[in-house]
Amino acid sequence: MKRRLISVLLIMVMAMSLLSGCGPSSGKEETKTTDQSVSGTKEENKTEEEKKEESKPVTLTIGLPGGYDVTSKEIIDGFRAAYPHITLVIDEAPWGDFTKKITTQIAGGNAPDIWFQENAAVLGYGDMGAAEDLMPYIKRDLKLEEYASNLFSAQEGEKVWGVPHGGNPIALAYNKDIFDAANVPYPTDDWTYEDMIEAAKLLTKDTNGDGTTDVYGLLTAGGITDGWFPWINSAGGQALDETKRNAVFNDEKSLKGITEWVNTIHTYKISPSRSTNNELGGTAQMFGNGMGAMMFLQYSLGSAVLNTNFPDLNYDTAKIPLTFDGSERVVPNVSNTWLIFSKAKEDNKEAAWTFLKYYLSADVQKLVAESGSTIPVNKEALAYVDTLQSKPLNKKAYTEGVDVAGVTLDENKCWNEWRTAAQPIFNDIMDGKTDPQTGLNQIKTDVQKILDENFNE
Amino acid sequence: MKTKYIKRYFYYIILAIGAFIMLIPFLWVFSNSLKTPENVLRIPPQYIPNPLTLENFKIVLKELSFMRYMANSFFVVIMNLIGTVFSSALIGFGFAMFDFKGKKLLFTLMLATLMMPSQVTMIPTYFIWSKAGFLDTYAPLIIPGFLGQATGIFLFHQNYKSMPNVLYESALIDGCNPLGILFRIYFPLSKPTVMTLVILTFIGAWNNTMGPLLYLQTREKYTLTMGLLTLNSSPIAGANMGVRMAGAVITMAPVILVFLFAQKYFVQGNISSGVKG
Amino acid sequence: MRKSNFWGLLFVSPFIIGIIVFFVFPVLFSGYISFTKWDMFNPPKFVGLKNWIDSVTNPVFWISFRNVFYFALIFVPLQTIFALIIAHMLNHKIRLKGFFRACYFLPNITPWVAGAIVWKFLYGYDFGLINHILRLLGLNGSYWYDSEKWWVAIGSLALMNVWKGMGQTMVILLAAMQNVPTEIVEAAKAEGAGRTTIFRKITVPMISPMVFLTMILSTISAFTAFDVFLTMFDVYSLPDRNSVVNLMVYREAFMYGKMGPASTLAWMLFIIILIITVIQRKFEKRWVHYEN
Repeated sequence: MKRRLISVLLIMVMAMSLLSGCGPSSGKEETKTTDQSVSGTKEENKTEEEKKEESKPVTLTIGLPGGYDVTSKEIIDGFRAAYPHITLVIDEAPWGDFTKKITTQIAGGNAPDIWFQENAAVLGYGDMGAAEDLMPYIKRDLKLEEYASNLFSAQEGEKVWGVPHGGNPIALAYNKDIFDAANVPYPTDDWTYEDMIEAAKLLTKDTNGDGTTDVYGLLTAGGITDGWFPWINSAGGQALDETKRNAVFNDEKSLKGITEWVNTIHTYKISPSRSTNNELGGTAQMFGNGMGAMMFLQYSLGSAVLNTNFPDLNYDTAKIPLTFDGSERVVPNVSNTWLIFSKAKEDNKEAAWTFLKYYLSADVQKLVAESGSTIPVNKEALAYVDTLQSKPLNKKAYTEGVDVAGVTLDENKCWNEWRTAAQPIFNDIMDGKTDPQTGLNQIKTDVQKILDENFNE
Repeated sequence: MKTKYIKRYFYYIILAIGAFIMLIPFLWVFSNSLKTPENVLRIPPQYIPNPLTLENFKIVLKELSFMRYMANSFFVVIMNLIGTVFSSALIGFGFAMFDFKGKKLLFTLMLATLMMPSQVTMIPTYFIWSKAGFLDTYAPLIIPGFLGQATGIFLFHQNYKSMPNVLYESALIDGCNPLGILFRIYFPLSKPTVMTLVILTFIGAWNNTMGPLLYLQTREKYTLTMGLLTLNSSPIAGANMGVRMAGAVITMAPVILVFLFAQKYFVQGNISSGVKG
Repeated sequence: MRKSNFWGLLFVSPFIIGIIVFFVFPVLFSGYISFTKWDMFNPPKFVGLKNWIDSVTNPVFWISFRNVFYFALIFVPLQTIFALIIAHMLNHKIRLKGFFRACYFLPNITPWVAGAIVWKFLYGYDFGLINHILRLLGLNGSYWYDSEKWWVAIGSLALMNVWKGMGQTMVILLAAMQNVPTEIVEAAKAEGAGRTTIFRKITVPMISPMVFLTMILSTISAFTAFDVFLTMFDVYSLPDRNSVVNLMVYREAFMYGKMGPASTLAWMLFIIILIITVIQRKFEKRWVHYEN
């Protein structure tokens, strides 16, 4: 009996010491410990110190969302071989749940030295001071003429909070077999949205005559990147203005674009409704199943969905059409962005930058290109993309599109907040539950409120 | 006699219909795990896979270090079972049998642990483990089980509270101390409760995604659910619904086996021994 | 009930440790954060009652509470009644008992992600199974989880949650029924009591502590339900009419990085659940039967 009591008491004492050990650390002190290696085990720290005495090597912790599925193993291994004095510790998490993990890690004061995330999130980190300003590094080490303009997609004023892990723009994908069968000429880079809609009308078919459409001319998407964002720009409209601090949304031109977007479903009936689309697995799945002649296809979906699940699909891409009046082209481009944690040790920051220089070099960027999941930012690698033989063959639709007309999705530090507010109303507009004018007015009000809250503090 | 038969058939029919409704989603998952990619989402849906393929399972086994994750999951789960069952019985017995200072407060606190949304307690809890140096270990996934878990405590509490008082009194007269009474008399009598808790804890620990996500960093330490998450959000394999469904089937299989095994025990003993009156 | 501080505290000591470290500290911490502005990187900045006032004056907050109450109102009674009926049926000597029990339990172990894919298919407007059946019967199909009527959307999710959670409640109740001493049942039978009478007069009172337990647990789980909403509703395009408190907490904390409002919302939810549980326990004595 006594023994049991003693062991219970022991546990209590241990727990109390644990508690007192962590009580005060929750406040300010965490900043001091942040720069310790993420794994936090004592062993690791020891070896780190030991190595330091020898040749001043660095242990660099790198956060890899999606692991080697997203950043190919070849790249990481290549870095390890080229820079033996930098020990790379990989901290990985599933792609979809990385945000939750990194948020907790930042709060707990032990984020990796370097990681990548969606560009908008990186802008947020820059704003709160968690991301290192890379402008001095870029000016010091990079030759700007070697890179496409989206090298600066994380720029805010004079500061750059990160460099692209890769871009993921959209292009107009078309099913050649459906075009051939209907005897309609393939899309070209001169097409306007008008041309696209007209062609889609010719391609929409009820093949078995049961009164419901079997092949849609166009698969209009409801989301932001391939849905309302390109369409709001299709007649020269805008979501936010150039300062990214004011909502536009409901001007004449935006209204025209969004009205046409809805018309593809309800008036021209060249596109399936949002519910049909969802139930059939989304636009890419429908396109793969031959149920649609055209769609706005994000670059990554080509290799991940179409080429993997539908190897026989006969498709190619053209650039996103010109606006209705033919005056300009807007190619939405989402990117993931590498950032360096501002509280990393100086040596680690330098090592992290070494990694980024390596990552941005032409040879490595070609590996990025070969992965097929993302568009590189290095021009030599961009040219190399065009020579790749995987489908879609016309990769210029992406590479040139992005170089000439690429835009971000009006990203700013509260992008996630305002686009989450806008999306459900866009859904209602697309479903016909709200008319475009009322909906856009509502969106403008809601989004402006969020922008004001976040920028006027 | 006849009405009795009718009633019995009535039971069977109701149970069968209910069971089918319960099964539909599972059957759908299973059927899709055996389909080729172009047959997964089709209108009209294909109910029986044709052609049948094991390709999805092969991909899962290859992409996931499946056996490794499975072993890790089992380790975590077994430690949780040991911890949760014993600590919950102990604590539940304490609450059910004794009156002590602060009992009401503690009991309310126990209920309260279930009420706080985990999203906000997550970050302070992470502080504790990171400051204690337990990141990338299994400790954060295991130790809390040894300190009692509300549902389990509650189960034992309700169970022991509803047992006849004479049990305790007579054991006391026989010279047992309270710990002895718990482990010699009450605990063996609460087999159904133990088995219920075994099943619930097994499922809870097996399906725990948040813990492994936050605390494990190296892939070799991943549990099966982390493997499933990785698979689901993998840009390559995750886009194929069949592969995701195969992953789900593999993750579910051990739990089903454990359930089938455990239920044999938790239906057997109607307690009759030791109860006087 | 024996009065013994020593034995009582000894038995619950692991729990005292656990609750201080893993509950009291995190909860107090989040309570403190609820009065601050914290981006989780820079030190928290004290802002007084701002977060609390902002939350209470936000109409979406009240909509969220309405939805959570409605969700619980459908989910808790349905789950309890179904579980009780099935457990009662399975407590008889019938064939295939193990098979049936396993069937009812299966949803409980189906991962949410897989469950959500199937339910979206069942609830689908154009090709969903439910609408398919309705149309065969000559009725109109309806939108379910994606309906523009909040009570249809939330109700659909409550039903799905019953499907998912019923097995667990059923297992707990079944175990409780197995715990009813056979002597008592036999004695009642000897005195000529029918099955129904036994169920009403003996089984139900004997298992009432467990029924009460499952009701408390499912009420709490209804108010803190999260996975069902996260997987069925797209958190990036959730209309205000379908909002629930837990999703608001998730968004503020992990999508917007605003821990202050997130903690405030969590605390409000916490307080509401606490009040409801206290009320439930007040009514406990009216119908729950304890041996002692």
